[in-house]
Amino acid sequence: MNVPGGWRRSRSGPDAGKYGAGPHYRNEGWGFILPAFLCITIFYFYPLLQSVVYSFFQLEYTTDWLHAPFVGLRNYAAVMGSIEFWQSVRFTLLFTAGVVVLDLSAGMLLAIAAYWIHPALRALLRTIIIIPWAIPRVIQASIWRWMFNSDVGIIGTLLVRLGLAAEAPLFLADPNLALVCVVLTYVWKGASISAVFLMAGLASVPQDLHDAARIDGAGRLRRFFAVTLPVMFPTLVVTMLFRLRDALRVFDVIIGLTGGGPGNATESLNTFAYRMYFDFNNYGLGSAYAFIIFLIIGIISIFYMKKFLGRFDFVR
Amino acid sequence: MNSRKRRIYYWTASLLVFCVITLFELGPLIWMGLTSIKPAGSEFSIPVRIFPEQPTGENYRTVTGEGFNIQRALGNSLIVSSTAMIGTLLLSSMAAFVIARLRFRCRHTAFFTIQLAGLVPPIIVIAPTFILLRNTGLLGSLWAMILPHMAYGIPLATLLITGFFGSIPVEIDEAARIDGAGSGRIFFRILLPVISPALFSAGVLSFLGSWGDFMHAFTVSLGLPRLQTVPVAILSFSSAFQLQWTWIAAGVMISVVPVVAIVVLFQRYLIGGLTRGAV
Amino acid sequence: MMGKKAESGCSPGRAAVLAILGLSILLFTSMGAPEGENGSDTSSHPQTDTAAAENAAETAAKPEAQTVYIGYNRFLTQAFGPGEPPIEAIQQAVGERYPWITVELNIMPDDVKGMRNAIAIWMNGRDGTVDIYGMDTPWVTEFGKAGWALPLNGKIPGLEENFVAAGLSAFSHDGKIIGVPFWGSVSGLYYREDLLREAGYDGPPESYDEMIAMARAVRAKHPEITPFTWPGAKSEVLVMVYADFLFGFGGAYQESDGSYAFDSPESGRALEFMQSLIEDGYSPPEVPVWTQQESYRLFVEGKALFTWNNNDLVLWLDDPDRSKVVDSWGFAPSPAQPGGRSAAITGGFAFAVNPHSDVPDAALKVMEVIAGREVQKNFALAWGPIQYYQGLYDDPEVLEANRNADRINRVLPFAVNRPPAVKYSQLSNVLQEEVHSVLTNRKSVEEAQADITRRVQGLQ
Repeated sequence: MNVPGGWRRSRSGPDAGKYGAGPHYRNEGWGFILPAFLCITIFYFYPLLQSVVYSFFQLEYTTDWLHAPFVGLRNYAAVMGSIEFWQSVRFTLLFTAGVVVLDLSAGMLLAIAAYWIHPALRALLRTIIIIPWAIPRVIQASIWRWMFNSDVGIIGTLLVRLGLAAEAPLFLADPNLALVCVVLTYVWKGASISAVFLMAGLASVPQDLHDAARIDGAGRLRRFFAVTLPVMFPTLVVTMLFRLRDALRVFDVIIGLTGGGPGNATESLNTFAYRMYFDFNNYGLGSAYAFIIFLIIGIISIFYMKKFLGRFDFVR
Repeated sequence: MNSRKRRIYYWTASLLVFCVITLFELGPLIWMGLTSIKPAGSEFSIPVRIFPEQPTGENYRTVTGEGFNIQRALGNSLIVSSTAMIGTLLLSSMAAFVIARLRFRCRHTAFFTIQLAGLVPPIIVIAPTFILLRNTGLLGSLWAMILPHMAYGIPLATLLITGFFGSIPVEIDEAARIDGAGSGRIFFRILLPVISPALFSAGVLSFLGSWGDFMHAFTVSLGLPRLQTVPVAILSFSSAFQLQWTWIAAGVMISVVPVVAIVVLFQRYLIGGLTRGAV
Repeated sequence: MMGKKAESGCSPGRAAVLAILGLSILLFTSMGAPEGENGSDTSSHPQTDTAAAENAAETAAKPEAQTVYIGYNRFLTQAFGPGEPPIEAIQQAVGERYPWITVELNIMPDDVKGMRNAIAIWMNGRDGTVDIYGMDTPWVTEFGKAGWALPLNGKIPGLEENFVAAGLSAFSHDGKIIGVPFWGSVSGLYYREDLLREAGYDGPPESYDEMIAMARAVRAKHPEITPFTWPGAKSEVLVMVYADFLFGFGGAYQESDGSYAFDSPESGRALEFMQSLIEDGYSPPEVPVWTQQESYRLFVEGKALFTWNNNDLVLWLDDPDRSKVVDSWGFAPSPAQPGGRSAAITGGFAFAVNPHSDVPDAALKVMEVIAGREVQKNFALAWGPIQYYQGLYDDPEVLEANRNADRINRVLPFAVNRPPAVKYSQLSNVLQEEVHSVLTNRKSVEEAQADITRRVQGLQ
């Protein structure tokens, strides 16, 4: 992967530091970075902290925490004790694990197909693979909900016509099938996203490595596992990180497709917290949930980054 | 002889793979398109027909007419997403410049902070952001969507552009500095044009991200049609007209056209920008 | 992990970071204190009082044109009987009384949850775009307590005199009237008179056992007829359906000490019965995804024997353009097992005033018109019963349009409200999820009952 500033040590660059007079910092940098920083503070850090503040109060139907009773960690205790919360954690983790694996595999297959296919079709195929990415998730959920319709959905109809099922199954009413449907809908777009990343990675594998391997007599499959994958490892890691973070935040697809599923079978972390905020208007409890969700996502991401990316220090 | 057979196999196999992939990727859209030209009500006829008996454009007329007015949502989305994209690109490229190029004391902290912000899930920021927008009087205008989207796009865009800077030789900066140019000049006049591929790809990504955002746009739209963006409008269609799938299909097809067009036109930049950037 | 770059000496940077953060927190939290957000339900809205005083004067000075927005779903644009679509009737009546006020409809989602969420967002955003919104019966306690509706006592001339007390009290909280009712409903059992007669029965079933026997008898002759359709999708309607069965099997919402009784054996039997209806084939397997509209479709097309629905279906059923069962249907109180009672679960809507409305005086004038006889009568003609305006059902026109009034009157005495709860939306959510889990066989009846009991602690 490319790091800012390049892998090669530049003789003269911002960090050379070996100039005679010692490091000489450019303070106009503040002017450049302040707007972005301000924006992020206002819309990321302030709300984050404000949410944490909310979570220590009993806030129902109002967010006026200055006049609300302080309840300390009671909201957090309620979260930890809520069985439904842990069910949604379990669902989200299972969903994420399944989806990331499927995403990457399908994405890899698509990327390889785009790489291998006849040159005449290559550009067209690449375009077609990217198209699902453009579709907003909520709209995609509507499309798939229509396809999973129990009476006249095309998927049920095809299953029956191909003889794979006696009659069209009730996709969204059966707890197990609903899970499959959500995963399938999510992966449809996710595979495209992964494919784009992986296509970029595939293209970066130098041709001479391939040639050397071929000269050495390695077959296609062997070449893939011995040469391509290892070289693409950084790409795979970054792609997986993105898909992981995305999957942990699944919301739109579930809202559009099952609304939480039969019972609460497809209730994810985000839909659960959203329900707390906007269906029950319990902002104190909802903020506690949201903060715990943030911790979960944050810890998983940081753990992942640490393990696979070594240091955080992207900037040389 | 052998090589000719090989070529035919290659061609056939390619076509087969092409068709399978196209079916999987475009199938849902095609089905939606077919549904949208069926006469209203006929989508529930059993047995299910794939192709309509009498294709009609009436659903499109309904959906662009009064009461639905999907053009307004399209217009809103276009305004919000383009403005947010421009803002994001400007702010991110400036930040990336500082992180990647300037001898700036806090480059590392800055980069880390910005990426940390990207870890924050939308669900935790949504309520306080809503209240903030209310208190500043922005709620009820499109700015309530533009400004947050601008901020939400910054982490990813910064990552991409910072990475891209790595493939630009530092000599360009140095030459300019020797000529006596200040940082501002270097950035705006010299570097900005050079990083334009990254700007394109980061731009497309942030445009798509803003276009597809639902949670925030839904909350901030207050249920008022004049503030709805495309995803919100489509969902409100689906709930308001639960059984009218032909109408929903027409709405979906219309809303999907601009983004698909953008992606098709700029797909080269998407992949290219990623290759030379963070990936 | 960041040790390596500490040497670059970024402490001023870090300090600046903290400073900006701290400063922004102080800045924004001081902005966070709103101006009397909690005072809305007892506040004297100064504008409104003076406006009410001016109302009496009704000066000759031409008032400026104002627009009042009503928030409701698209049903307000539809009429199922001989009346006009309600929104048009309202617009017309307002146009006659207060010609400078225009009334517009802001279309909200069909389902009540969507409506409620939109209203909640407006209240939290203190948005005053929609001045009048539709309020569902179960929300009254919540909205009253949170101050989300303007108290109307004394602000609408004639309200307390012209309306039946029961109707007004259904939309009152703590003595304050917060809604003007315009439509009420009760649920019951629709049945095919002709099919039952053919099978040798002369009336609707009185118990569920009888209903099953009737279903079997009819099915023997007409195997294509679906015995019983009802809406089983995870929605508010499911709570009503469950409540219906609950009472039918002898259960109740609460014990004598006020705690919830959803874990009673009677409740268990009701849930088992609902499950068995699907398993034994008396109700189709699609029931758990059916909304109200989808569930009555078969009955209206003549393909079902029984269906559960509100009384508003009657207008539909008598319309020869829409129904295939004109003159062959009946409406009766839902069956009850021995030891149980029929329950007609109430529903209904009122219009309430948004306390943040930017044109409160105009909104109140529109409310006055809505509470007037003309608009109420139109609701009776367009949507059917039940309205709470006194004397409406003596009007010959109304009687003419509502030939089924006696059928509905037979069901009315069994009216039961939804389960009582201060945090009704949470209670409803729990019941919806758990009952739906039972219907989709995700949980056993015992598990669901245990979970319900656990989750409803403290929601009273």
